[in-house]
Amino acid sequence: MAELQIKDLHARTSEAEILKGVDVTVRSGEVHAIMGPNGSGKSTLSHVLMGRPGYSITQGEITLDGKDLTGLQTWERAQLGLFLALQYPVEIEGVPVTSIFETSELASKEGYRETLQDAKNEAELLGVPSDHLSRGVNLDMSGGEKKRLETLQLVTLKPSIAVLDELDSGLDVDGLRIVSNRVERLTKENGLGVLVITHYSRLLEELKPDHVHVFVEGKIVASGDSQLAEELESDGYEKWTPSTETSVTLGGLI
Amino acid sequence: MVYRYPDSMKTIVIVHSAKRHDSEGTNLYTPQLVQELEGHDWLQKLRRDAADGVNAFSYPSHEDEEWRYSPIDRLELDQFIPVLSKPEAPDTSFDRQSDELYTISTIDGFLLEYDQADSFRISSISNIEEPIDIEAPEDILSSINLAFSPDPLLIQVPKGSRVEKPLVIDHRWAKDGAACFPLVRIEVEENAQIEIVEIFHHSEVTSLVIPETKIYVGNGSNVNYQQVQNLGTNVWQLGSLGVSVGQQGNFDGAIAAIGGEYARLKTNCLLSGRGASAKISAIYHGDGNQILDFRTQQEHVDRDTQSELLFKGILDEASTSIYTGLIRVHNEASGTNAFQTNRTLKLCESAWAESVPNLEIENNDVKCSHASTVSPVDEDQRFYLESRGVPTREAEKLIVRGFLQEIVSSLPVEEINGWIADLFNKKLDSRTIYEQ
Repeated sequence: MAELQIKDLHARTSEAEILKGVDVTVRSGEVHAIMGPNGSGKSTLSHVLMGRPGYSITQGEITLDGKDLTGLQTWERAQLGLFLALQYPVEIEGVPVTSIFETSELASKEGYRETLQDAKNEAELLGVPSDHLSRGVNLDMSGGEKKRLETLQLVTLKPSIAVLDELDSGLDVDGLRIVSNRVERLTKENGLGVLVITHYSRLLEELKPDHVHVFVEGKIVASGDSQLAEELESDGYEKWTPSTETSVTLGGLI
Repeated sequence: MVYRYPDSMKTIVIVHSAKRHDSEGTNLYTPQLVQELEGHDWLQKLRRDAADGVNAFSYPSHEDEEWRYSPIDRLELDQFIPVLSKPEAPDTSFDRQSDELYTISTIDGFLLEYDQADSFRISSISNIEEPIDIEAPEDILSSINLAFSPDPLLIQVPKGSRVEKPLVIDHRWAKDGAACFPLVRIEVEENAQIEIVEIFHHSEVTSLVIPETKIYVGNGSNVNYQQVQNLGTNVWQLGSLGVSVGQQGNFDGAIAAIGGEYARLKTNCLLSGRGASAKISAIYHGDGNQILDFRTQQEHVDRDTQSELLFKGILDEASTSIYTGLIRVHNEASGTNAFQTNRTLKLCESAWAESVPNLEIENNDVKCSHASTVSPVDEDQRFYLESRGVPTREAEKLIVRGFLQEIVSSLPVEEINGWIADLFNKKLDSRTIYEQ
């Protein structure tokens, strides 16, 4: 049973405080959706969790199975079972995804050969062409192809908790269904815990969230079940954003 | 057999240069010293003339554009003693299957042993009785090389011949404090084909190596050439590689350089016949205080010629690389395609790269480009790999290998590729520092 616990997390860049007290706990098998408008700090949350350079944590804690992550390097967090699928997967020339499987501390200890065979089988299920395994990772791939490859890495590396940052962006309807079904299956069969960050609830039609959190201006302002996602889809975030409230009031006056 | 060089024949002309530094020059490398070497009369005369010319050329100085950024002012030529008699052969234990390759081995520039086959001919020019045409040296380095090369090598591939296995030239070094002058001439006649590897091996000696390699690619011929520079860390190299490609000829050349304290290679590639094409690639990796210096020229003389140059370097610790490249397109060379790219990946803040690409184009109907970048390891790439559980050090290695992969995967002599990749991997694995 894995547990990612985020308590009163505050983090900043050199310019500004971005996260202003985030609390959320993700356990094995659970799907948490973090939804919020652009610029609310959702991606920053994913980067801070994974330890990307350029942010400093000023308050609060992040633990995985009770272990403090904040002092650890990115790869050490991954080694403990945390995975981040990036919103914009990075292209790296000459480094195929198979090299990642070969060198990752997260990869199965059964050996590279088995891992590679798993990856090949999964690639077929996810509709990843076999040459995408041998060319530079994400190189010259479309947005959707990159997201399929992110999912392939998630499935192959078998983390205990995954943060999926806008996994839906770039995917077409078929891709979205395949990818979200596969993640859903991981939560059911492998007990993967998921923190999914998204604008829209499209992804959540297939990947059913147990908890939905509204994320505005660096913190969670409301939590609920999947009902909340549907509300957000029809009403947007106006209700939760202070600046919008002001403009509505002004509009009423004029 | 009369072989016509694409270049017109020249005789040695002694040029008195106004730029001569009176305090420098050489008192050691004199025409008298040439007498110690073996060779027939015509060659001895050629050598004496070349030695006479040594002091006539300007002594290299960092004030010259050609040597800008280089530590050439630290060179004191006379501190290195020329090797005038063949040193004892070292215990050469080859770590490769020699029956898959033809080999030639030299020691301090002396010919030790070589394979022969019907498809090519190897001779030491010292043993050739009748004069052969050799161009006049163009600078002090080629003068001194011609004057003091003890066994200039001539490799001839006759018309229509296909050399079935790669020919590997192993240059090794024995004497401490020596100056060595390997000279290799490769003459490939029409419609012939050969793969050549020239290896400047590692050694523990302190020495100066001034090698010169000239390759003549005849009309319609294909020559693949790989140079590996793995010299010791106390060696200075001032090398020259001259290539001339005839009509519809094709040259695919690559340089892999990791050794030397200061290692310079000047590459001139002349596209002299219509439809000639050349590809020149280089990978290099410097660390410590190494200085790797490349000067290239792609010279398009005739119509419809192509040249594609890609140099990629890794710089670690306090190492330096210098790249100066020129594409020259003559007025007659319409339809030229010429590309020149130099990319440098810096693993350390303290590493330094100079990259100066240049174009000189006299014809309008051409397609030319040059590009140059110097960058550190991409933080986003490193973060991406780390977020998959790849440790920092491994992530950096993957990025570095990936950066070189484009060239490594298409090096011209397949049989030797694995060995070259190993050399680079070993150097990368031996890194003691890496940034967080």
